[in-house]
Amino acid sequence: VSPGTQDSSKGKENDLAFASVAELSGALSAGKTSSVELTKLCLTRLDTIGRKLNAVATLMSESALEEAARADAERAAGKTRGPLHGIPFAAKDLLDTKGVVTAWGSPLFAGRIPAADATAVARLREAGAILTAKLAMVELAGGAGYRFASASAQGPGRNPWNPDHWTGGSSSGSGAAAGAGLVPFALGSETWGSIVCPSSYCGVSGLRPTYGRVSRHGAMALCPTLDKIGPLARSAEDLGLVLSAIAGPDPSDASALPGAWQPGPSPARLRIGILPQKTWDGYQPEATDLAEKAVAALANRGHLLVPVTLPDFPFDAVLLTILGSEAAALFEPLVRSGQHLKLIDPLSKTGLLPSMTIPAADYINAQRRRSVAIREMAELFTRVDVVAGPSFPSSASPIEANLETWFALPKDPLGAPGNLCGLPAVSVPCGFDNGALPLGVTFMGPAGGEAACLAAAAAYQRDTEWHRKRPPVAG
Amino acid sequence: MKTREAEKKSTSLEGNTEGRIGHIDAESEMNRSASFDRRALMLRVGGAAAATAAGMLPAALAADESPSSPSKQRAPAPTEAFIDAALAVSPAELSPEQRLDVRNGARELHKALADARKVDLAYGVEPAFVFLPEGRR
Repeated sequence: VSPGTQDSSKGKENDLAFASVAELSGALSAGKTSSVELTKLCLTRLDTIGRKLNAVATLMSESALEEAARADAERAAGKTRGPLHGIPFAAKDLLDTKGVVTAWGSPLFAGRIPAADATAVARLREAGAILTAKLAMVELAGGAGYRFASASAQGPGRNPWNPDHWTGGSSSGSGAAAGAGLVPFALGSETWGSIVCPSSYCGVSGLRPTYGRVSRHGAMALCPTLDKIGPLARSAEDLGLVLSAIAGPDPSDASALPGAWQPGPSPARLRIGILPQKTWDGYQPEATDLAEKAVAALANRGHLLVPVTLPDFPFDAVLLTILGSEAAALFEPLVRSGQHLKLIDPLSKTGLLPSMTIPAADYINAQRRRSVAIREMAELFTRVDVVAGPSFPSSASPIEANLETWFALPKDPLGAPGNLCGLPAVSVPCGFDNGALPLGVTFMGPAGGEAACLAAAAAYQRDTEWHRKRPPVAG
Repeated sequence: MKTREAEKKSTSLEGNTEGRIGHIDAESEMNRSASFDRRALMLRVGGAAAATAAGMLPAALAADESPSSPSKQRAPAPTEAFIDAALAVSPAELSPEQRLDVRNGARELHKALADARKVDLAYGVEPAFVFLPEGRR
């Protein structure tokens, strides 16, 4: 089955399942569907397709249908909370949900039941969105390292485009759920690569916000100075709608940025930074070719391509120093108790141990070097609005692949500086490789520059249909 | 080996929860065989980090060590001290394969720390801590 082919007998259901948030909101307003109908559809797809893909940690059928009925009643009474009113969604099992198991992808925490919602989840519910499920993830968001896709309580995340391939991680269920049309959007998180990777692998649009844009309160802390919460959805437009709802200051998170976020005006002619070709040495050729074509399409629409180079800086090494130090500190009890050997993946069992020995001076100096990196990247973004490039070195890895060797490259050109410096990025699908697996292009912006990233992605999606393709597993 | 009591020992990771740490009974699933063609730094979060970390090790170094020849090549003394420290942080008894994973992870992390130290720092450079008053950076 070629990408985009769909079974016509399920046309109406699939049309709803793959409609954008904006389209669904319009259909709800026009009375063409109801929140209960949409929620039932999502619950059914999560329970059938989602289970096959190992995407579902906990299905929340009862509460979701109650919330959907309330949303419909409010709408009937003339009260509408906004574009997310009555729209179903699902959240990575790293985000707390009141009274519902939040196990961080690990059997070690299978009995963990939070007393309150994470701020991001609470804000979506306040906006009228319907929480349908907690989604599978890589154990501890990959914080202990992992060698195989099977490093999850739900088993390996299976890709909607080919279940014999991985979803990417650590937001594995979020990528699968958005990609397979199980929910209109999902929440994920990224410390290093965990939104961009599954977005690229699963052919969906994903947003890693600026550090601090979305409160981390109620999210599993892997690395408090690097963790970000963000959405995966059908389109850049939808990402903006979700970000508007979840962004903003939070007294419970001192790192949360002040002020609400709304998509502001962006330049009619975006300055798009292009890195030297050698930056992508070792990438799957189709990954670089398709990203180049995406950028060329934007140039054809009048946007300006600006050659740039990244600062000569060991972004990856500094990032690893910080990530290792903070993850070891957060999960020290697992190590001191010996329970680290109960983690699932063979590498996870020992992955935290070396980081326990990082000298304090190295951690502090890594944070000082981070200050240098932030300044240098900020200087780069005085010349461009975004920097573009392939989202990931390859399409989705085979489900049994050793992740230590699959397209193992010395540097992560966009992901390492982006995460180290807290910069936003949007990944959108830009085509398929010869194995019919999706590939993505990423637009990374300056701190606070989500609007430019989303504008570039939206401009690309206005002229292309890659984000509207439906995987064979769609039903 | 740990006792059953030790296995049930709680940690302080539960945070905002009324639950407790569950019990793992799928040990057999944990002991999958693994190839050791190349080594990765021990901390990987997304696939991007996995790819990056694995690529930081020169292939020749990666090929030197296998479970059957764990001490064929000794790292320089500072690295060995780092490895020994990493092996000593947990009370759990590690299998030979797990000890090898720790050795490789510690070696690669040590290399990353060295790479990070290559960035000169002026005395006045402040850490990029983010927990500042009013949440401002």
